[in-house]
Amino acid sequence: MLDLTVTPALPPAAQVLGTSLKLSVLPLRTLVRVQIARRDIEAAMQSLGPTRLPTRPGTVFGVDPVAWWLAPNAWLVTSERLALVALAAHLDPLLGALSHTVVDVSDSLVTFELEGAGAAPLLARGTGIDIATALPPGHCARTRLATLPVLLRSVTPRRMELLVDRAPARWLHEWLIDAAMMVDG
Amino acid sequence: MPAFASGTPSRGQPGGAYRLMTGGHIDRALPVWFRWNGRRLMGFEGDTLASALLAHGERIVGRSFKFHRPRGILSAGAEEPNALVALGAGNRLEPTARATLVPLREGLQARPQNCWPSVHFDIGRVLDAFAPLLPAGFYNKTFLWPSWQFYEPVIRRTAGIGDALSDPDPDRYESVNASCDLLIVGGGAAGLQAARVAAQTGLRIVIVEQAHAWGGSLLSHDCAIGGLAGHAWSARVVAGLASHPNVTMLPGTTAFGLYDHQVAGLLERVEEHAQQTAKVRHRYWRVRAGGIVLATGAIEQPWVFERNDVPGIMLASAIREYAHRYGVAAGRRIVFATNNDSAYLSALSLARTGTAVPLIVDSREEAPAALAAALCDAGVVVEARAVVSSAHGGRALEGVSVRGIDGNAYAADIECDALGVSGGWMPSVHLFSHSRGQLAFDGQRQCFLPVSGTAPAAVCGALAGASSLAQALESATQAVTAEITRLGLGVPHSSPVEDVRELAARPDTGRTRRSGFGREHRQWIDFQYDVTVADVSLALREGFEAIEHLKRYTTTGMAVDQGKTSNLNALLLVAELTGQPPQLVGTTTFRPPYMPVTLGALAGRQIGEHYAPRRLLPAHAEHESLQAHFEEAGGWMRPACYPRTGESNADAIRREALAVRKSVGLFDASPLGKIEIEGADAARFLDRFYINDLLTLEPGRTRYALMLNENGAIIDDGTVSRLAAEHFVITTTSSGAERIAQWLEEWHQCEWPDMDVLITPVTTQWATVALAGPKARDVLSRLPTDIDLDAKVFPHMHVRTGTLGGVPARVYRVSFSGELGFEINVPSRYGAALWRALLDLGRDAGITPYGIDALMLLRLEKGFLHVGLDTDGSTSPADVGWGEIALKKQADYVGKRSLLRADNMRPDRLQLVGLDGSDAEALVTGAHVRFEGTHEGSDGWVTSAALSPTLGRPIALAMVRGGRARLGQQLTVHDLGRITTAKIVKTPFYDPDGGRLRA
Repeated sequence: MLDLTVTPALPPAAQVLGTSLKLSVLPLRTLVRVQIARRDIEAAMQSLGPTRLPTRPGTVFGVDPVAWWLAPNAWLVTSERLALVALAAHLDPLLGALSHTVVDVSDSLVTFELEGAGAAPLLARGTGIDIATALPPGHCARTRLATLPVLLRSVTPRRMELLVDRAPARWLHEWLIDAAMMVDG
Repeated sequence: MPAFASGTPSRGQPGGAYRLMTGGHIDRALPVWFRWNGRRLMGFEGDTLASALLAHGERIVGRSFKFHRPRGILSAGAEEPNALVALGAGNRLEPTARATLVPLREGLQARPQNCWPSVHFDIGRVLDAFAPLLPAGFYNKTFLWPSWQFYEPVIRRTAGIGDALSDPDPDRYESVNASCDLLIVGGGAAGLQAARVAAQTGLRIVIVEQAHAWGGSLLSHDCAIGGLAGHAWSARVVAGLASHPNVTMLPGTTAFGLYDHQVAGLLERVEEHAQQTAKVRHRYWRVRAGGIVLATGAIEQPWVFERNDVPGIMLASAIREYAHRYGVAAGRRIVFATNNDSAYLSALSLARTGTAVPLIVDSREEAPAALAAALCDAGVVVEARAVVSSAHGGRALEGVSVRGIDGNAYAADIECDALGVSGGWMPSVHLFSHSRGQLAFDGQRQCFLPVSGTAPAAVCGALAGASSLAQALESATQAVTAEITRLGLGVPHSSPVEDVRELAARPDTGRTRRSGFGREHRQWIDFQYDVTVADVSLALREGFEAIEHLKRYTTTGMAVDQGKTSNLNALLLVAELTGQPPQLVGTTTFRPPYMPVTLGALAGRQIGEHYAPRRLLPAHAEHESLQAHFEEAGGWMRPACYPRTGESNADAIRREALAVRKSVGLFDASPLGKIEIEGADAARFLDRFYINDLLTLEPGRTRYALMLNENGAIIDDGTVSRLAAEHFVITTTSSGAERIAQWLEEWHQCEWPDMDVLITPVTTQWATVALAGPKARDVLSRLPTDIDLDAKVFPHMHVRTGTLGGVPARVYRVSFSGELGFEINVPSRYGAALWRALLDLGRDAGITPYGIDALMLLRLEKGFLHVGLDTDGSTSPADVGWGEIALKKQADYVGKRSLLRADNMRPDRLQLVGLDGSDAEALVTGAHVRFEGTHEGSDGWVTSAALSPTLGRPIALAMVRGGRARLGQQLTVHDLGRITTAKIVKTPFYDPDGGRLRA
């Protein structure tokens, strides 16, 4: 009989690094990538409005689910409380008749949380994005960190979420710990 | 009052025999011990290595590159061409450090380089005797017989400055990104003034200063600003800036390059300025700035005369800086030679320390009246229309000969142990030029100045041509205000320049900076590379008139100092010799880096384990528990094989391959690229990328397909599976997953935006396990599933979706091994569980995990293509046997048109064929093949090779010229001297009718 044990890329854990940073690996959550066909973008802009799926570039909306703007026709929607089917059902009324896809990517991404004054200096070791101006709370960005494609979201001035592909997640975790050594230095 | 700490030079005097009794921004209460060339010496906190050496009377600190001539300290800054020393030892050795920029620290070890056995007696000096035989470009004219290669080893051993490390560098380096509204380069008077003005606006400012102390020339200039001495004003401004939270101050930091989009590269020497064991030695900053203000100052230029390289000849401003900033006299009797006013200030300040200054010679028609009067009052003789014609002394300056010019009959030999020279000033335009700024020759100042508005950076201070402190401060205020306004970042508050008190110096610079007397091959232009007036003259006679050609032929300006003290003299000499105006001679191109940058800093933490991302399989821990031998492939850590205790890797690979052929094997194929394509136009969209017809692909079916670029070259292969009418999943090579997703997206967005297609990469969403072998279906059927695995309803090249053990699954009947195969996809979180379950369930069937090496062997036996290994950037479908399908397809697709190009139709193209080796040993991948008696050179190469465990003989795939028409022919295989023979054969080698994989 198939053992249904779930094996995450990294077990959920938190650790304090130096005096100004807490690095956490968050538990698996439901993640879907929503895309709307280009021909329906105009309609989407009108029907979505400012709610649910944000239309302003680089912004996020919601508490749970949280919708991250990825592209004019693409969003990442995350939820800790809704499973895949429930989340899809939640999105259905929004997307309605628009030509769209909702693809489960829950298993492909690992979520880190960086908390503390050291979060931005730590990220500056690996990404060129101007965190102070491009990532105020409520904003997200796609960029590269330590050469890896990542998604960043500023939750509060001192709390960031970092999503990375699951395959190099362990490597990035080690990279973050190494880079954090210099944040207080 | 005696000027010196001791009455006469004494090696036993603490702090050095040339240390002045008073003065300098050093802490005389804090002695710092260091070693120079093995000798233990003492300096003071605040010294540089150069100032400490000068204080101890160390005249010879290095040897020149070509002729090993003894050289002493010339300057006090980044322009230093002579005092290039080795710091540290062992794996912490730092070669070619400028002693002028090395802060003295306790325990510092330094030694001269490019000399043997010692800097005072260097065998290499013998080359100087042959100097007439070694002019510019000598290596292009000599060493022709018997050949250059004959001499090359000796020349290579002789050439080079400093030793490279052979052991890993134990120090830590890092790179940091930063963004700011305004980057100010230069922490002298102009830079500090610019920062002071800008800081009022609340903008985010980064200000960098190359030295470890702020203030630049204010630290050695006799001046006052707003009633404060220059250094005190500097300290006040620095303290004010430090209190601004938005101002980042980086002392000890060199801006070494400016790049597109206002990106600057900075090198912060952390440990050195922290003067303690810091966590990081150097930090590489990549700064993205909204605006840039350059206040990089200017560099004094030397005079050109016979033997102008004798140790003791220094830049006049450096002599002043050593006296005022470090309390060190460059000599006991110092003569000055100049063509401008600034050397008067240096002479005056030295005379005021009590140092003997007998004479200053000025090549100009008239000496500046006020300055000359001040010098006369200090007992200094001023001689206008006179130049130094030659220097005397070998290892140290003993005197100079002075001659009158332009009708002045003056001639004298003057005894001195130091000569301060000033041939004018050249603004440090390097960073300005990096950003493609243009330069214009200024006749009054006899130098090239930045042309405002030609680069995305504002300039101020001496860089902009300011010749007085008041001008520098005023230009800084104007430049930063204009830059802030231009960028729309606000308007600074009015900040009037404070009252400045200084001795006035005019910008006028005399045209003469070369005495014109004596032997030209002893008049040095480039001190580091030993380029002389004679070399420049010879290059011009030989036709190297373009300045870029002349630079390369003579190597002037090509040493590690990048000609900071030689370029201008070379340019003006060319102008003089060719009769051209300097503007027409032009300048050479300044390129980053402005100063050498430690490679460790550029690498940062991208070393060792952090060098590149390591991607792990969902079942990585399972593979580890099986003692897998991992290899990196496309960034993934993949099991190459699973050797058992005492088993070699080669034996493990054979065992694993045979297990797949005979029973069943389990392979982790998770890195296989997976991309979902959905939408009403999904089929039409995909059909435009593959040589295969995909419009006819029915739901539930899978097709192998090749993808081309616009040139018709194969860029990827994989399967295309239709899950539903408007829902496809394509697979790509493991290393191509990201690239192909971007490729599809680019075509969609740029060429076919109207197509109703949505692309989602899902490579790591799914764990993929391949179950292959005659017993594969039997093992898979032991899992509870709602998918009918029967061969009749689920045949080869089909796909089914359903559940396995209650987990969502996609199962493909495909095979890369040539055996009955299933590729099972489950969400990655279940990848490890699936792997464990299949190993358990298949134990009685002899299930064997196999690695990538066994898979490569199995696919070779089947003759299956491996894109990237069997192909290169020019391989077309026809080259690998897919030409007929590619050309038969009616619909257009990317690359199709190129397949009809004449070159793609040539019958003698390299074509993929099979080889049967004649030896018992395996052929070698990469070995070249040749048909005897045809022509010289290669007829192709082996792309994949192995000793087939199934067939018991060596087999290979090879790209062979016209290979498919040469079936049955013999060829020779050449591998590093080993020659074997092989026969061209058809593929597949194994199971040619494919019955096993369709089972």
